[in-house]
Amino acid sequence: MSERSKKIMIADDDPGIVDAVGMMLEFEGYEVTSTMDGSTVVDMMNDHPDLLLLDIWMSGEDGRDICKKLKHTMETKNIPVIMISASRDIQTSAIESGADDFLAKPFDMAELVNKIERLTADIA
Amino acid sequence: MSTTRSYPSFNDEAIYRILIEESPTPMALYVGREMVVKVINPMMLKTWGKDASVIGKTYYESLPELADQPYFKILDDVFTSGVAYTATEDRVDLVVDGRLQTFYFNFTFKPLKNSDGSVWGVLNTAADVTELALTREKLRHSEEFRQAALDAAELGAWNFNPINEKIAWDKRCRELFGFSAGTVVEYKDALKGVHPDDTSFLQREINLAVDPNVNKNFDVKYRTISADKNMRWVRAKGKAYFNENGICDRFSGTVQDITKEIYDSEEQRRLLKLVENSQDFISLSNINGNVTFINPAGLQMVGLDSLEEAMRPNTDYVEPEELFKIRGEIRKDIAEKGIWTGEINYRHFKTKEPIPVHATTMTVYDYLTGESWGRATISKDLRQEKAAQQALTDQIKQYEFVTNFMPVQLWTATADGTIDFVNQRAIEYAGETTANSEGLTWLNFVHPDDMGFFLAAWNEALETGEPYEVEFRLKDKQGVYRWHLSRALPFKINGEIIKWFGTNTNIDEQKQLQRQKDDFLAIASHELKTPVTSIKAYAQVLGAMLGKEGEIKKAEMVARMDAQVNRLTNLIGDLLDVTKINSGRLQFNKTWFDVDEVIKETIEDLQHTTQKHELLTDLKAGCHIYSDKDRIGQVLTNLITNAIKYSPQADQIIISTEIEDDRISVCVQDFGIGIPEDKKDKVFEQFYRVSGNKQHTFPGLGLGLYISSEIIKREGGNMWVNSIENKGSTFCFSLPIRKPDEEKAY
Repeated sequence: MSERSKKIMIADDDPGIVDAVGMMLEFEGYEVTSTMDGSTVVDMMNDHPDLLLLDIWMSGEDGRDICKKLKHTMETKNIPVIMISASRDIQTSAIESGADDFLAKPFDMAELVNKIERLTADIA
Repeated sequence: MSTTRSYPSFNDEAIYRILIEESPTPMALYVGREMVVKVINPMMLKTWGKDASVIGKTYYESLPELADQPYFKILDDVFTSGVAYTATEDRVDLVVDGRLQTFYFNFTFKPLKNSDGSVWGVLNTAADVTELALTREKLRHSEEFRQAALDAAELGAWNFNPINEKIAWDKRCRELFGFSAGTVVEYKDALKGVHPDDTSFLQREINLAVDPNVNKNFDVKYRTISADKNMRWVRAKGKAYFNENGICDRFSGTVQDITKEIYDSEEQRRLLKLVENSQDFISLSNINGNVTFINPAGLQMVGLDSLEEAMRPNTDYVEPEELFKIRGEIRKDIAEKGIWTGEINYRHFKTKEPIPVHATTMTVYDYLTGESWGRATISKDLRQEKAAQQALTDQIKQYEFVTNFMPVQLWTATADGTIDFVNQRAIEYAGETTANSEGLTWLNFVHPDDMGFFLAAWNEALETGEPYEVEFRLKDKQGVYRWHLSRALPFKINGEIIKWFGTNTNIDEQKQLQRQKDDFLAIASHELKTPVTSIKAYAQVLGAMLGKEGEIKKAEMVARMDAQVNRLTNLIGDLLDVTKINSGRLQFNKTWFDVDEVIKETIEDLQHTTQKHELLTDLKAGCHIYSDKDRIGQVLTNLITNAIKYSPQADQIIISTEIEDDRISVCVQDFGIGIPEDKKDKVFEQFYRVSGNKQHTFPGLGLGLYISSEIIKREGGNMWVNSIENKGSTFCFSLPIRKPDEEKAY
């Protein structure tokens, strides 16, 4: 465990997911912020989270477009992004949009934590 | 004068002169080479048509008209040679009564010689035989004329003497009867030249002709057989002559070769028979347009009872409005070409029913004069044909009505695949203008994306003769593509394809519904996943918290809840997969992986789910394949969970792999309830579930094997099952092992 809690941001339009996953990550010792509005994701990056959990199907916005924007912005391009989708078929296009990893819903807690730890290993 | 010289002296020139002059025979004496007329009697002068002034003149001077006749030379020859010349009926042309006339004489030039043999004069005696010669000439001419007449008529003349039973024949007769020239033939021999069948008849006729009490006119036709076995028909005519005792002493006449006439009339008879028995209407009409003959079929066709009734203007035979045609077109054609052919309506004389016929009418010419005699007409009754045509047209109309009424596009194609008919429905769908354009084809209407498999399916059907079935999008007249199911069956006669009968059924609505269903399922299962994800997250956090607090039992319950959530997740996954398969959106993320390794991982996971079964392996493949690892894992999971589910009494499941011919095969064997033989192929169908009384004991949506077999199919492999009921099943699939160099191509 690192001295400083890693900051994880959850962007998903479903409150259930935000609440449940947030609870799960906090239980695991992460600091969690969240948004359910796709249009605010880019602005919220000012908080400099250590990792972004990004749902692919945000209301009104495509998670892949958000991901592309982040990866093309100087300040945010180094923030790891794990894209989450109910469909496994999205995986390829998610990686193409610049996501560092992909996770299909529903997922095991252990699986999520493994991915987060792998992507944030150098932060510690 | 002395008495002793009561007889004139023989030397007395006067005596000779008197003798000569008084002789009724024309006589003359010419002397010297010059032939000076020394003595000429009045008869000779009369013959010459000259007077006594010729005495003392030469013969040549006296008869200058003989200059171009041979007599001067003959006379000179007699004088020089001393040989007498005697002529019989020689023609001499003399000028008598002022004109050159022809005479015939028997005459002599007799040389008169000296004692030394030298000729001193010529005695000319002559007898005028002109009348005799002319008569004879006339006779000869008339004989020649008779023969010429006989020859011209090809008549032979014969003369039979019933008393001695001899027949005198001329040349022609002999030819006909096959006897050599100049022979006088015995009656009995002559009969040998007659056809055996006609002999007795001929004899009877002859006997009647030569019987004085009957004297029957002899005019018979019979056959003769010539020496070269040629049969001829002859006609003999004759007359018997009777002597004063009433006995026939001459029976003569002519005989004529009528073989050709007989054959011609035979031919004519046959032709007439043909006309009489013809089913067609045959008539003759004369130059005035009056019918002179109609055959029985013709009479019957127009309802006439007798030939007498038929003798009427030919215009009576047709419908009144056809008169224009007769006076116009028909008359013109006949005048110009001598023949007209076409359709015309006759009229039944009794019922007034119009009778459509196909008629040919032509000018007939007189055989001898070559002039137009009238017309011959032959007509075929078209009523049946017309009725049949009408029936066919009606049938086609009915057929078209029915096909147009049908809610499908109907079409036919020739054996080579050319569309040759589409129904109204198809034309309405594609639009009038496009469908009417030349060469019916779907090609312009098929969606470009569907063209490939559309053509492939059609060409394969044409090649194999197997039924054709394909779904594609077809453009309507507004340019909108709609899904159609196209089907066609070959119509065969004697195994040969005559035509393809096809239909295009608009299945756009079904397709839309199918898509809506798929979309609904996709959205529904996607939406289901969101709360499931939350539940799973809460459960996992709760389980972890309880574990941390030492609430092991509670944590265990939460773990079971999590397992049920996984089951729910799988069911949702299956539904999603089916919608993807149905809409062709099943995706594969291909990588190289070791099949045996995937099997080991899968078994490791699944072994936890069963306490009873031991999952045994016999893995002999040990190779990598290029495929979707997760999907292959999904198939393996499905097969193994099925094996566990359907062998509740057994305790073993064997999973094996092997390589055969560049393919890897994977088998999962159980020792469970098995599958009846007739259901074996059905297990891979969508929604198939084990039927019968066991149905409810085995839960599931009936999608697993369908999804598995579809995944394997789309990966280029195939899936099958061997099973014995109540003994167990072995489910297998095989996949191609792709070599690395084929990877790029893939």
